[in-house]
Amino acid sequence: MTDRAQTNQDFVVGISIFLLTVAGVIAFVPVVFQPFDDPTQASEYTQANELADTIIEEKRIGGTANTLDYHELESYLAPSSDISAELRADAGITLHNANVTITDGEITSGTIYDDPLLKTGSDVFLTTQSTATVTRIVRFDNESRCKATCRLVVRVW
Amino acid sequence: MRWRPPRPRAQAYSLEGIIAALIVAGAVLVGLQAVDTTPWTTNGNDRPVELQQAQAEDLLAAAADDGSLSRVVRCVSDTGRPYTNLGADPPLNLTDFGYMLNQTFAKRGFQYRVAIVHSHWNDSVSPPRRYRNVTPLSGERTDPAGPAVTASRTVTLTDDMRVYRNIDGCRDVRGTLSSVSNFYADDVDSASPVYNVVQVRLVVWKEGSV
Repeated sequence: MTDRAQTNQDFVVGISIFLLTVAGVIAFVPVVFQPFDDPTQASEYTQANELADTIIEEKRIGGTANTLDYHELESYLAPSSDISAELRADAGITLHNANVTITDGEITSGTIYDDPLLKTGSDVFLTTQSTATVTRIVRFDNESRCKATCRLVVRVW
Repeated sequence: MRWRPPRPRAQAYSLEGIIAALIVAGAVLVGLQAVDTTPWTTNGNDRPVELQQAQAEDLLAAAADDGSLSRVVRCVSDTGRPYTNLGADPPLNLTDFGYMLNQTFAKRGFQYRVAIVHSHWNDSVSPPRRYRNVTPLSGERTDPAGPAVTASRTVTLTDDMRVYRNIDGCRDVRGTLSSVSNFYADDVDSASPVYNVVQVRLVVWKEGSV
């Protein structure tokens, strides 16, 4: 035999280090991409789009493209924790987890939810934070309501 | 064969194991650095392409509704060129349309360009040809890189509409389209009340935060 001692132990240490590393890589790489998974689904985005289109189509002043009637909108988007059945029927959506907010277009920083002109729907999204969001530009005939344009933000989750 | 004493080969397996493990771990690190995670980090506003398209169209529609689009088209300097300060970083003496663009796009980090497309008849050739001229309304010379969306809206100009001077928000009246001599668009038919039909084209680039 040679002068080497403990060849078997040497082999065990070496091979186990290698196998542990390979197993770790195989287990670790999919986990790295998990935070980037988008939890919103295509159906939620479609419903948010439908909702935004419906609001603009139903409540716009005849003859204009994007000018909405504020008083009719006030009843359509009555403040409550759930969007109104009339709106849901018109839009053809089935989810109850939706929120519609109209804000002044001037506000650009994050907390646009603090001072909305009109707001309806559940507030839960403020904590869950992964929603399908559709933002449209609208205006009202009474120009003093918003600085230049208003933003209609529809969130569905 | 002569028997030779073996050279010492102490713990070579361990060394090989460690080096192999290091190579595998290094490959993973280098591979992960090559992965670009930007498309995955949007904050709940997915599908920005359609959002930008809808917003650009909405903006032109809102401006058409309140008359500011028509006013911007008729706001010219003394040499007949239209208002050139609707680029990405508009100054203070904006028209209403410029203010809308600033509020909706510039303040949120999106760049945009506005251009007016108008027709020009050349009667001196036979048959008469129609040319389309594109007059850009921004002072920037180069366009930003990257994907963009385009929205356009037509504005009909009639002979009796007022022409404004492009200082301080386009409120100063110079005359009417029929009386002003050096407007950038021609009168296509002096017999009819229609002066010209122009198209306002808005191009918005997609970097920025919605």
